[in-house]
Amino acid sequence: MLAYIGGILIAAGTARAQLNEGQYYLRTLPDVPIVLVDGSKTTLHRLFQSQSVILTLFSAHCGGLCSAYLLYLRQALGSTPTGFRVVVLSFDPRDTLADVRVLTQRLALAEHPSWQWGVMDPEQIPRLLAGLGYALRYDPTRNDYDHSIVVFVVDRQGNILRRMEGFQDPALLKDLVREARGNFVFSYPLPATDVALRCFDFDKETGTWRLSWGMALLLLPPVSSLAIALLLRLLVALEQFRAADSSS
Amino acid sequence: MTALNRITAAWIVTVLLVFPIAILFGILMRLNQGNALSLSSLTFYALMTAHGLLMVGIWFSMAMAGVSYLLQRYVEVRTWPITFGYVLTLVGVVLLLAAIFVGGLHTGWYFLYPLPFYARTTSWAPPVFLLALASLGVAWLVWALGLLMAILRRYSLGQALAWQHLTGKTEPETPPFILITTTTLLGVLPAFVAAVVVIVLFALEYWGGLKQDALLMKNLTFIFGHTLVNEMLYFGIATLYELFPGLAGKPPYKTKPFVALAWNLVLVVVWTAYFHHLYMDFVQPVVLQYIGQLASWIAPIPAVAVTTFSVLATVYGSGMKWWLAPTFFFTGVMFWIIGGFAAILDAIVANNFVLHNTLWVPAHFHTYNLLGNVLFSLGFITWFVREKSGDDSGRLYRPVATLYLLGGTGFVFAFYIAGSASVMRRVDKYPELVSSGSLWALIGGLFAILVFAATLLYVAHAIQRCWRILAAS
Ligand code: HEM
Ligand SMILES: [Cu+2]
Repeated sequence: MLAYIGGILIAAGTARAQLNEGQYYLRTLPDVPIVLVDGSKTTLHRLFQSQSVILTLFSAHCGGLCSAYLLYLRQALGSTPTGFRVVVLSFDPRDTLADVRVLTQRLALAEHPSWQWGVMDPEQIPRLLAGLGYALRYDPTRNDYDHSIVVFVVDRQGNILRRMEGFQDPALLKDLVREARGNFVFSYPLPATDVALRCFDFDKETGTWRLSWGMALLLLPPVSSLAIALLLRLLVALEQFRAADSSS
Repeated sequence: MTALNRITAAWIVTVLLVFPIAILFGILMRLNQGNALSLSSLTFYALMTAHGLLMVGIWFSMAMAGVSYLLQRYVEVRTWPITFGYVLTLVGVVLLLAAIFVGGLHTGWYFLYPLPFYARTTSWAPPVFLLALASLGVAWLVWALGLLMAILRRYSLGQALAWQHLTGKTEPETPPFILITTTTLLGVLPAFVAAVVVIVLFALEYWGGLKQDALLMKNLTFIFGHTLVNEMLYFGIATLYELFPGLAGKPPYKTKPFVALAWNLVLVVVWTAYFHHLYMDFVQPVVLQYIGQLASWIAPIPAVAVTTFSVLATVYGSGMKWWLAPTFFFTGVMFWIIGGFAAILDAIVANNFVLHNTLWVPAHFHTYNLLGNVLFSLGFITWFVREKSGDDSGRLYRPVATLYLLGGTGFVFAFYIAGSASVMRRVDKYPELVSSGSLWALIGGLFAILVFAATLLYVAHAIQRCWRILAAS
């Protein structure tokens, strides 16, 4: 009985605060109404329907990181990406369509149909932000927002596939996109000098690879099993030899 | 003789004490997935890791304990390797539970590299975990070597593997029990060697800063994990071959040429079946994927076919008196077929694209564990209790068999349904996209409570009687 109670107590004792990385994975975003920068009306899910989307948020009034982040995204994704689109929505209720238009012109992204810009009804904004887990706090002294810097990969049904915070290696961003399009993203760490035994060696110059000693190590378990069997056989023979010796 | 009784009773008592706790961990997980509970993610993964490792640990040990006891019918069994295995297993389990519940280790039962380095709450969890693993590895290795020595003192290696029967000779006779036990003991040795290599590589990184190759670590980890659970089932089969005909009032099984062939095939092919865990690892050489696919068919099918045929032939027209022990053995074989079939479906590359890491996987392995291998061990335990106390657990027959089998079937069924709806395994809360997973989790959890109830009834009964053996000596 004590053992049971002990087991349960131990189990309960491990509850601790922790990261919640997977919390947003496959969460379906709310289908909020959107007004695009050209004045046309649509909804979030309709924007996702034809292609996978990279989604991010901004404020045209932002005096902080927004412009820099959007420039970084333009550089990493290109102004005319293929196979996916970039949807950029304003989280700032103060932003008008005119504000957004000015921003797109400043970023030289105004005439690119694969970059879609939009604003929401102020009442809808919290709904979307909650769905995205987007952190936002208005700072009255600066008259500006503290906010997350994050991109989402969203599939055609409006489910979050990936979430990536901050400025990252652009190559990582491209991989995200390829994965969103249903391509398999290969990754295998390149040879480093501090790896003990590798399965493959890769020649950077020629781009060729060949099997290495790590793979050979896989033979060790079965081979040593057979060796052990023979060894035991030998031991037994020795035992019997000794026994016969001492009885004679 | 009495020493062997005592260590066997000690194993039974220990295993049966841990079993309900591990089931409870499973029920907590299922209820959490069904949104009836809200555990933190870390608690969930700690429970999952403890559940998997405890279950595999106790039932591997029990299967080997059963075989060790029955081996005395043919050869002289020395008890010290078994006792050594017992003590070191206990040490290993205590260290393991400390690493998990105090140290926040939450890797899942096969501890894929580099997860053990990410224990959440303390810095000592990884080395303690490695120590625990080493302790279990050494415990089982010494025990297995002890049994092999015992066999080889009486039979030559060729005889123990029944090679003379391959050519149709009947003399000298190798009983199926010896054949299966030998192939299984030899078969499981690579698992222990791989465990040692993995531990050394982990330690080199932890203390020496030398990075490891993830593909190599995954291969080695599955040589350990897959081979261990695969062979544990075969120990159960050995017990069944030894006890089942007697329970039906028939003469012992004889080693026919095709039986010898099937088990010799198993011995070598089993070592490459583990490749089926790496189908989704694109860097793995393609030829190994083919080997994995072939081996996954060749390793189980002959053994299943031969065993099923023997068991059905034994029951047919035997007028067998059904009580708990033969019922456990017989239903164990039936569910082994079902679970084995579901496993082979998953081990086909084309299907694995769909079923990989879904609940289909826990569905099949719970079928041949909870309703297969565990039943073989419970069959042995029930038989052992009757041998020693004369009590055939008659009062328990209906309630235990009904609750356990009904609960177990419903529990695995819920896994199968969710798995075929692509609900992923190893997730504490299901996202909206696969929200049907929550309902099936709840249903599975409720059925599991029936298994829990049956287990408590049975455990109380068996522990009492085994405790008397321990106390008497
Ligand atoms: C009624 C009894 C049982 C219950 C309620 C139960 C429940 C569970 C649950 C909920 C999971 C997690 C599934 C997931 O991935 O979402 C699990 C995993 C597992 N169970 Fe059980 N189980 C039971 C019996 C057994 C038995 C008898 C064995 C083995 C002999 C076993 C071995 C395992 C293993 C190895 C895992 C995988 C852990 C991992 O993914 O790391 N279970 N079980
Ligand atoms: Cu496997």
